[in-house]
Amino acid sequence: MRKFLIRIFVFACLLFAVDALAGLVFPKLVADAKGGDNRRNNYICEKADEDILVYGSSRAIHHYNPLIIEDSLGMTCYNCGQDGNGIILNYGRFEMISRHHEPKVVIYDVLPGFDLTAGDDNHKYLGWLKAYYDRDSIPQIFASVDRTEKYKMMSNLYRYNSRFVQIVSDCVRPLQSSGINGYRPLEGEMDRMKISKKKAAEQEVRFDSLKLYYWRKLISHRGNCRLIIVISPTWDGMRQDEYLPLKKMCEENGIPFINFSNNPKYLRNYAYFKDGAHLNSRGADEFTRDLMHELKKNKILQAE
Amino acid sequence: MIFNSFNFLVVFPLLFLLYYAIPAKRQAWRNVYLLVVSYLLYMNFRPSYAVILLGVTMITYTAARIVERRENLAGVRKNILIVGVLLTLLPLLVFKYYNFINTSCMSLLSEVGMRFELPGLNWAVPVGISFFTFQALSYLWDVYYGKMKAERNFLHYALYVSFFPSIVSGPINKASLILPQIKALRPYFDYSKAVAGLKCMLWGMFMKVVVADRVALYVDTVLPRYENYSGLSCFAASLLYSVQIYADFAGYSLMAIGVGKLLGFELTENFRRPYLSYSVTDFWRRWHISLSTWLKDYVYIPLGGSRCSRLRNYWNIIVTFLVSGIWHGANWTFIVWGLWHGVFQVVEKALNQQKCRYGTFGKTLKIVITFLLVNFAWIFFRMPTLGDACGVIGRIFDISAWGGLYLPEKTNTLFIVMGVVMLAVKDLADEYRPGGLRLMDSRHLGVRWAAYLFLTVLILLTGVFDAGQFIYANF
Repeated sequence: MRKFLIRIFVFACLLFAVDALAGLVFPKLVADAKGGDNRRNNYICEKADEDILVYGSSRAIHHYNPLIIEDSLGMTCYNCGQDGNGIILNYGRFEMISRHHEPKVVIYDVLPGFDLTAGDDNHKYLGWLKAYYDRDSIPQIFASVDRTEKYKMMSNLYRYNSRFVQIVSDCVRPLQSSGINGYRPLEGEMDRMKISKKKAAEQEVRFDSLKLYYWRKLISHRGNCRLIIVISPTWDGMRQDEYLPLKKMCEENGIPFINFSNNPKYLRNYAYFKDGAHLNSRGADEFTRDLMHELKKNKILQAE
Repeated sequence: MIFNSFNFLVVFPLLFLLYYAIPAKRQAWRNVYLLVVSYLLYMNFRPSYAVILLGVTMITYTAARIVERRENLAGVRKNILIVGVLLTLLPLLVFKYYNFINTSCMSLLSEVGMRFELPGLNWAVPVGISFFTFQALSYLWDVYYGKMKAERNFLHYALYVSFFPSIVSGPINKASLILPQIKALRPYFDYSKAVAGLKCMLWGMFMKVVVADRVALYVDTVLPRYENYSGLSCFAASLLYSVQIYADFAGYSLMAIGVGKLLGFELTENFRRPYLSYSVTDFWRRWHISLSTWLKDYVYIPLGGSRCSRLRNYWNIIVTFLVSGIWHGANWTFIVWGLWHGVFQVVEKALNQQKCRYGTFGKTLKIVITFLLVNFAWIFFRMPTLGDACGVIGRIFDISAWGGLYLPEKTNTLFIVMGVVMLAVKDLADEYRPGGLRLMDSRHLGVRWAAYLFLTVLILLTGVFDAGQFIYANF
């Protein structure tokens, strides 16, 4: 037994040494990222100082062209959207940006699956925050998802879990650019073969209380920043009941809620879509222009 | 508490140290300690379900004692056995099958114009109920058939049924394997067994969090929305689901066996590289071995096994695999899955293809064919309805729907390929060159420790650490 325990202890020491080494190497590699998502993430969390920031999921990254927004409103703009993410990550980023800069406008593109409804494991929204765990208010976000995260985050290997290949590649030879002010246009048209002939069965909508909690926090912490909630076009439209609590919150707080999800111009229009959830670059440009027109028409924003 | 949870990794070392703090000669204390720990960990899922576990334990314990005492009264013995079996199965039937039977009957009656409605149950199925019920039943039948003596010490028997490493997802251990280990004076600490246990836990964890949970990210993207993906992507997702369920379940079993070894116990082997089987019959000698042994001993052989006419033998195989399908879940998809396996075994038997008498090429071809047959059966296992399963298969075989292969982000693709290749290399090496690739079992300390460290770092760097449950914990 003694031999066993000694060997376990030695193994733990070796593991601790590797972990400490990872804690020295990975933060440096992240900071030195030449491109890709790590450079983009660094920029968003540490340097973003634009007047307008766009938040949301992959639909934000691919749907909002900052150059059109800048031309239209005469303000600088950066697209902070992140694939497969929602309010939990975006609230964390909002908090980090707030430490050095208060944007004039935040445009938030909502996707109910990531931003409102229950069903997902919320751990997945913490991935891009892990490298910034030491920043103010970030540990509280981790604790709200899982109280054991604070112990797991003691491990540097866990902190860079699933990201180390991308960290190395973004430092040595980035596989993708950081985008045009964060925006990543999708080229090409939708493959008609992939269209589902079967309508998905309607399921009961359940909302995630944690996601709603972060919406309330975002709304109450927005300060002088103008928050605009947008649902960008979807190929097949969207159920109205999936975003009702957010719509109600917006009404109560005087926040503009602009819904393009069932806009007939885009609905089932192959020319504007890359796939069922994402506009192609042509659709994105058209939508960004339409959104700017809508904002000006309703006097929500005016050109500076 | 599941093995890949953070809580288990924190709690288990404490349980381990406390267990070995009890002197070996105080065997009874050690057993009481394990029993208390087993119940507490089980109650961690939902405290009230411990009542069901205790109920099943008491029924089978009492029935076995009475059956043994009425040795000379065959009719009475049989009646007690029937009552005992029915009472043991009752919670399983109520929790797992009531809603299925209810809705099936209602839809059948509504087809003939009768409206008859019973309220549905909205209760969660107790974790591991199928496993501990079958384990307890195997003991009762073994006593009835005279294969073993009824256990007199209730605490020993209760520990056998509730032993925490195997209660959630098996292996379904035979009483004849576990009870003697509980009763015997175990050595204070078996170093080599404990090291073997840690190796099992390490590789099991790798299979679960690096392979199964990573592959699940692809499978869970494509299969629920299969209509939106090309036939090629659906086929890739079905292949990856085969990998996922194997890595998930075999990973759990290995961790259970590892935990058992750390406490000085030997549990039943549950997997032996099943995807290298050359026939469906061979597959069932390697996949979920403890369940297939159970089905053979308590369903197939009592039905007559192979010592009967050819047609009767085929019938026995079909019925056995029908039971296997029903055991897995209350859904027509599981029934079709079970029948699929049964039918293909009958076909193999009829064509005399259960064994492999071919050369390397022929054997490889048979392995590939068997894998594809098993793979298509898994589609029924995975999809929520028969319509969806047929939809996926239809999509795969619809040439016009074949298009580009959906690939997740590059890092995920790389991790999926890495995990699957490592698992395949390990299984191929264990099967065809057992002494060839001995990294964790190398004679050289440096190689062994480098392998342990590499695997641990790989788990921490590439594992999926969400709240992922084991697939078989649902059964």
